[in-house]
Amino acid sequence: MSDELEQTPSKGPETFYNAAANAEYTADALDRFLDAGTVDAVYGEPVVHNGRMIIPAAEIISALGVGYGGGGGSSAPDAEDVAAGVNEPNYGGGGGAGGGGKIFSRPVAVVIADENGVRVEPVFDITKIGMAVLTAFGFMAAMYFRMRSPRSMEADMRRQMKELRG
Amino acid sequence: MPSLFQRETVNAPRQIVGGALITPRAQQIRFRLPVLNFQAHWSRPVHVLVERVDRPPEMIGILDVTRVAQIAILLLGLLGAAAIRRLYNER
Repeated sequence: MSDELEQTPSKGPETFYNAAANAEYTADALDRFLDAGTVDAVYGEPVVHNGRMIIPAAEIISALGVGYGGGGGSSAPDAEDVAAGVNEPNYGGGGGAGGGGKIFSRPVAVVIADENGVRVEPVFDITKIGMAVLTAFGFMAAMYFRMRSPRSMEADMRRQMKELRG
Repeated sequence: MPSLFQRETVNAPRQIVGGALITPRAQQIRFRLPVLNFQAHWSRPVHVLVERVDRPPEMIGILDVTRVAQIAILLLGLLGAAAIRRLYNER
């Protein structure tokens, strides 16, 4: 084991952490990931059926974040190293990186083209509409129960009493 | 250095159907935070350009019906909540 360590060539901290290379790699990763949202992905491959061309259209939202960090350090050779004949400083360091992202796609419409002309048929997502209706009812129910709560009624009574006195 | 916010309209590959040249177009919005290494893209279809020899070019808009309905319903919900509050305060 110690032999392996002695044979390891001595390197500086720049070997462990290269900020410029990391930045370049990150920018490249961001660009490649977000290429998924180009116009080729918005409009799907046209489908021809009975002389009618159908082109699906979708909305694409993509987001990605990447972080990285690292560091290194060195120390002068200690007595043991000097005794072993090693006079070069000791280097050590490390780094790490992480990231996360998501691509979200949703059909919006279908473009239909034939001999008679071109028309756009919208895609109606009933699930999303249902969720919106439930959320809207949630707003109203929350307000209703808040106004009916004993604390709210007590505050109303206090305000009315104050108005009567004034 | 790339800008923080970028918006452009791009053409998809053209198609020829029944003597008409169809060019679907999409809008791309790019948001980039260089400091935090964060990027977000929003791409959506905006319209289809239809060109014929015998007619002037026609632009057919693509409306996101689901998005419009979602926003309208949520706004109605907020208005309803405000109306309930007002009714209780006036009693």
